[in-house]
Amino acid sequence: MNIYIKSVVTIFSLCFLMSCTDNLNFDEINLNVDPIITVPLIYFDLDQDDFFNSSSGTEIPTITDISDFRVFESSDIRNETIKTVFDFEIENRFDRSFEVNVVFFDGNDNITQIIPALNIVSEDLDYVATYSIEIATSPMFLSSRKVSVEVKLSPSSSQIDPNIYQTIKFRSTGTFYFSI
Amino acid sequence: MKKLLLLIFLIATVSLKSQQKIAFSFGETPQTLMLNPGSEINYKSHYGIPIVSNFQLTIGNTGFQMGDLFSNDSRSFNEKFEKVLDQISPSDYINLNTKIDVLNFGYRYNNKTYISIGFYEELDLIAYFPKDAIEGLYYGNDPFFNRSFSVSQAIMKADLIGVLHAGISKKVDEKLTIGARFKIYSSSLNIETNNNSGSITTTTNNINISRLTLQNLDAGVRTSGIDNIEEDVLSNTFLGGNLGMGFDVGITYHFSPQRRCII
Repeated sequence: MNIYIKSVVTIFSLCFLMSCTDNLNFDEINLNVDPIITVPLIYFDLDQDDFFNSSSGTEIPTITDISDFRVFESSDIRNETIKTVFDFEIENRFDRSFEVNVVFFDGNDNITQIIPALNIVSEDLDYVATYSIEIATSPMFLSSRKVSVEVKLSPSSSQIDPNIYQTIKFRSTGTFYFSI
Repeated sequence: MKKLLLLIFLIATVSLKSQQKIAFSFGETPQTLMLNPGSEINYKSHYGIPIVSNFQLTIGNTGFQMGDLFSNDSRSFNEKFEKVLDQISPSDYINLNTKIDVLNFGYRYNNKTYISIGFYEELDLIAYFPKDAIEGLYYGNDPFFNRSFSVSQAIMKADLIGVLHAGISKKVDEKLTIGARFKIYSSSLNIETNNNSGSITTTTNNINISRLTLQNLDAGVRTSGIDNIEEDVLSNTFLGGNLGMGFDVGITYHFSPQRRCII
């Protein structure tokens, strides 16, 4: 009987009173949080009517639009952003070339960042461009509150015919790299 | 944000329990009166040292083990964190309960009557791991095109209260001891979010290179007491504006010297 009780106690002790341990290291707790956030930016479609003044019968050489750019209104985002990458995709079905200028402004309309002109040749259906801004070298970019997109029709000997359907599609996205 | 992420995981990796529950029927400790005001008390008086006399802490999580995050190996902390993040599910949760005695004393009024008075603070928190939100904060949406991030996983409730209490334990006869405790609760802090719904998805489409879709988003956090959290949160636990009331009763009855019933 005693042997039986001893066996039970031994098995119980082995099962319930023993456990395994492992060394833990609390000295190297250094979590780097570096999320990458992609957000849609500006997109538009323009056709031949947008570049033609039917009342005067002349071309409109430049179309400009200014939009709010609110990404950096939050101080948290301003403090944590290390890099921004803009991707542009343009599909030009015009038989004319275009120049697209993207410029960022602060709240007082001062220029904070100019993206080099995008030159799209006629009937280029797969124009792709990428522009990267390192905040360390361009800290002014963080004060951007507006973005201007200017679409310039390159001069040509032939004028746009409003009866011939042609389009230019502009797509863009911003990818923001953070280090929190 | 980084500290918040770390805090969630650090407190979730500890699992500690005090002796509070087994203090039940321990007549030798004054804390037993908090569990059963009808306990048999043998001493003349007691005085608790603030904070030290009773500190109860329970922290646990169901998602992973400490070794998963703090194992002593060559992997970086980020690698361990990412593996843990991969293995947890939205049904895992962290639970924290802490109770601190600020004031606790008692004295024997006469041979049969013992009176005790005190004040303690208690924090309760339960939070389910909002896996999608944590992954969204940690990785961002860029690696997860076409994945739907659910908002409904965010479920959390936290309460901080102060309790002012006074109790009396009376020995009716050799067999029977009865007791009662009156409590005034002061709620200082409450944060709650549940019943959230909706999702956030980043996709590509013909309209733009990327597109953010917010679908049926309906989320909210109800809070009270956080306006002046640094100044008021502790002072409001002592008879602050949001009061409640509680009443405990207890009985100890000896059927024989060896057998007794505690209610």
